[in-house]
Amino acid sequence: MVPSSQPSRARLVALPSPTLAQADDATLARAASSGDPRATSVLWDRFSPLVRRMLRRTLGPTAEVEALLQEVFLRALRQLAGLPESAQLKPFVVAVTVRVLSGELKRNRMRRLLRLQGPWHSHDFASADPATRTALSSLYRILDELDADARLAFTLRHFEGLQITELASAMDASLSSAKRRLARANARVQAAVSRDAAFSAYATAASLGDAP
Amino acid sequence: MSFGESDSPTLADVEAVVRENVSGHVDGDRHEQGKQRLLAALRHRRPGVARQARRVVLIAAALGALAGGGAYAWKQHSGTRLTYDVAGGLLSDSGYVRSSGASGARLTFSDGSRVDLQDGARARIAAVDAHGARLAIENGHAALNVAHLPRAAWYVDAGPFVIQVTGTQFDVDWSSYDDTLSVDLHEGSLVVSGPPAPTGVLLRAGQRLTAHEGRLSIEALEQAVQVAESPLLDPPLPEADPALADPALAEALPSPSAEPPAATAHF
Repeated sequence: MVPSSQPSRARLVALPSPTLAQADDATLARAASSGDPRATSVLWDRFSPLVRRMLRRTLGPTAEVEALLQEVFLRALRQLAGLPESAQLKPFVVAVTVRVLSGELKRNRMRRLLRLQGPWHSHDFASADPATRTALSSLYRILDELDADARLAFTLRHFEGLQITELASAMDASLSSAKRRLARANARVQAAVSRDAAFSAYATAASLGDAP
Repeated sequence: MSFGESDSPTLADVEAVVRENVSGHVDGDRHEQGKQRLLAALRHRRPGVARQARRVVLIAAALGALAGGGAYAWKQHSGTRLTYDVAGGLLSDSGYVRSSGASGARLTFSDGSRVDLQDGARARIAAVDAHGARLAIENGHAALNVAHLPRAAWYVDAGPFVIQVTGTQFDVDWSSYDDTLSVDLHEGSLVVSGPPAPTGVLLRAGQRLTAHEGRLSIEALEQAVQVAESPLLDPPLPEADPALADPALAEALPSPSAEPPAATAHF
């Protein structure tokens, strides 16, 4: 053996087992970061519904979320190697999704300012009934008026149910900043939906049991 | 659907309309298509080259011929597959290697890395790329000296274990007859994971790891050699220490120079 003149390092890692689908987060992260396609497949099965839902609920259910979904996973897989052993995968994936969403929201805002992207219409929401489509298009027009941080705070809290500490962590913000963003968003959305005739009518009908 | 009772819509109404109508579910075909798209993207991604590095190369190329030439040379280097020679052994077309003489076989790679297969050892070169190779030890003893180069990525399969190497010296002994793995680490450090230790065990230079029948033991290499050289000694393994399953605790083991005690853990 010829001694190496530089510091050296070697790692022994387990072969991915057939039970990788049941593996804990640390094992799965280690296997995925070593390039095991089976681990990637398990990650996709485990987290793509969550990520797609976050993308759709934050941006609006458009076809473009599939491309962003891919971007979230590619980023996450690149960053997995640096994930601490004790870290949990779900908050990590949520945080990566939030970063991708933040960039996309800022780009969308710029597109709207440049008139490259029009406002929402009810036909954008093809999977719902007409009344719900109208309510959703009204709501997403309102959300489009928020800045990226406020919109993210709002959607993560109200649509995904994150606690304020989880929200702050996902947005890489202090607790007080997260609270401020959420309070700002809550006030604006509350005021806007109250003024919006279509959404008000839908909500009233729903509360009376008339909505589909 | 549960909406607020007041005339004016509330934030609960907003939550309800989105939660009940916007989900992340897609049908099975679409789910599978997305997965295959991701796997294809990962296969076509250049290994080991970070996005930031690619940006730097592109900017450098745009700035001038000198930087461009450097980037070109770098890319050429990164894309050249390692070559290797076999001395003292037979190499089949499928990459199967076995020694042909009593002195064993030596694999010498173009990056300076070497693998010495002891007489009787069998191995297979499963893959070779620009940054390393994947070698499967089917049975017997191999001594590896992997050149420490940037982005070096070597893998040695030994039964249910994989040894990921970036540059170090170590001996691997894998017995396919009794499923016993032995790793003697001469330089650097090792994290051992596998069926006996799913959470991983960290080894330091000068230590020996042995895995057999669900038991994993770590001892100072110097001590292990002394034991092996004494024909009268056949010491029993010490009591189990499950703490060794924790890599952080395993890392806290004293170095061989501090005469660490032998330790055994059951998994």
